[in-house]
Amino acid sequence: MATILTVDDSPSIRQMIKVTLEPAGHSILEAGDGAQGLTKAQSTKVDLVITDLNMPVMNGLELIKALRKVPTLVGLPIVFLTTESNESVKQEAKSCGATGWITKPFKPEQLVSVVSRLVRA
Amino acid sequence: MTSLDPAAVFRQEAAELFEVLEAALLDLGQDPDDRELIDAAFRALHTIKGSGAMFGFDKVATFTHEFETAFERVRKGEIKPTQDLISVALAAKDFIRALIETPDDADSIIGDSILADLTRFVPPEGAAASAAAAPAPATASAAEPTENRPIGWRLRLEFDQHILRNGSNPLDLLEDLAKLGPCFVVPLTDGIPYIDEMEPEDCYLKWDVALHSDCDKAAIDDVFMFVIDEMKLTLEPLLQQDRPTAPFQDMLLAEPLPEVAASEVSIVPPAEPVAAAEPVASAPKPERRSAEPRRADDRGIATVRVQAERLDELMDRVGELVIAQARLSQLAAHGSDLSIKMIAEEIERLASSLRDTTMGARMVPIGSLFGRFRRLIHDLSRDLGKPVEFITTGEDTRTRQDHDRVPGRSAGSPHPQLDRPRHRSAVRACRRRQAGARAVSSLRRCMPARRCW
Repeated sequence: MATILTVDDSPSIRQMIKVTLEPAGHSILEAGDGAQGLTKAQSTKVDLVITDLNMPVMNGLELIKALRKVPTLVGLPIVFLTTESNESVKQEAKSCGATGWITKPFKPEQLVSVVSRLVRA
Repeated sequence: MTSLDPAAVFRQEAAELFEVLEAALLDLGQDPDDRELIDAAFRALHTIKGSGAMFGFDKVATFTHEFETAFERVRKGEIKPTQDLISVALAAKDFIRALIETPDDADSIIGDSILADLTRFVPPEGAAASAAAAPAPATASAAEPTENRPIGWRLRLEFDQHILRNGSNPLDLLEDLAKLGPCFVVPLTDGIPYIDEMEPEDCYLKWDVALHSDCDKAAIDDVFMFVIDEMKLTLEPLLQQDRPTAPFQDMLLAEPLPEVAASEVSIVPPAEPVAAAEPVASAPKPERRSAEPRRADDRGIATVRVQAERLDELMDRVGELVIAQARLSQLAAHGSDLSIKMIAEEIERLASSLRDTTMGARMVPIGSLFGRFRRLIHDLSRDLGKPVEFITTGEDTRTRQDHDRVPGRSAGSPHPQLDRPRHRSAVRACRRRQAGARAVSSLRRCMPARRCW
């Protein structure tokens, strides 16, 4: 199906995303911070990026901005994870170029639903 | 430019609507369950009624109202359009036509008798309810006016230009919308700039969507959850009266050029041009038995109404231009000035192309003339009690409507005179040969074998 890059400093969240999306037929790439995520997104063809916002080295907002500047990644859907349902955070991430969001905590089916919205067969 | 008499415009419009109505009724005889045909007939009636009242044809409006009210029950599926009912409907159509074209000759007694026949086949709703005592409640509730009941949503989607850059794809969203119910999607292309001003990563299209679904507003909001801040979503209930199976065409009344729109969608989002060209997963399409489906209401789309006389005038001018151009070419051929020769050749090319285009504009598809035969055969078949299947092929062949180059002949008129007795005698001969009550099915084919001018 799709190759999805999950960028999060928390291994448990990455694992949770992996075990949820792999059975749905997606292959998962992992990165522990924004800088790693940016490198992986450029070196491998990915169909979707799921990123946390608060991360060391390069945070989620910086990652989104950086990804949007890469000419070969135009139109790449980027979803961010947020623990807050705070509108201003969403707005900020959207203005950086994010496509959508998932509010933590989320149920596996919510994650699958969001991914299926943004990744078409 | 002379200003046209509005009543004359109405007569012209009505003549086209009558063709649509007649074709729909005749097709309905072949395929009584085709909702599109019923809706096409109903729409034509509705327009005749509305415009008739507006232009002072009160009798037309009153009679058509009665007709429409009866037909409404067919539309709701309460009454089946039987052959008898279709024959009455055709007679009613003829009467309305007479009311418009020759109001002095239209006898109201004929109208009354047609309405009486109509009442026989389509009893008024009250009578039906009281006659069927036991199932009355169900019938009555089904017959309740549903004109203003929302049957879905009408949406206009205007996305920010940069929507594609953020990874959102409007076509995916339209697909998601289609999951809520059948929708008809019309792209609005007026925002597309010239190609040299176009940013390939920008979205210039807007979409109008008629969504047939009982979903609530929240379900629609959910589809656009991620992009709601980057778009303008206009949402209003889609009412029953908008229903006609071709809401697509209804919407076109507001925003024209469907075919251009469909082809242009592929320009903006290069990702899925094929998906874009199709209206997103739509209402079930009725299967047509005919190999060459003839939609009763597919005429008149993206056309401009021009009086035939004006086109004739244009043709005369073009004819004169071609003669003048020939003289110029001759002069140029005899001279030695190269630049004049070049201009003469250019004018020759332009004049020739103009002549072909004008000739093409003046011609009509012969299918519109075949319509008369269909009605003739229908009436004969009914009068003689013989089922006849009348098949026409090659309807797209184009011809001059008035045939004024062959004195005394017009493309539509001679054949009915010839064919009526021929057909009648053929059927009678069959009847004699069969010498029994068995139905004879006669098949007559009509095919333009040559190009007529």
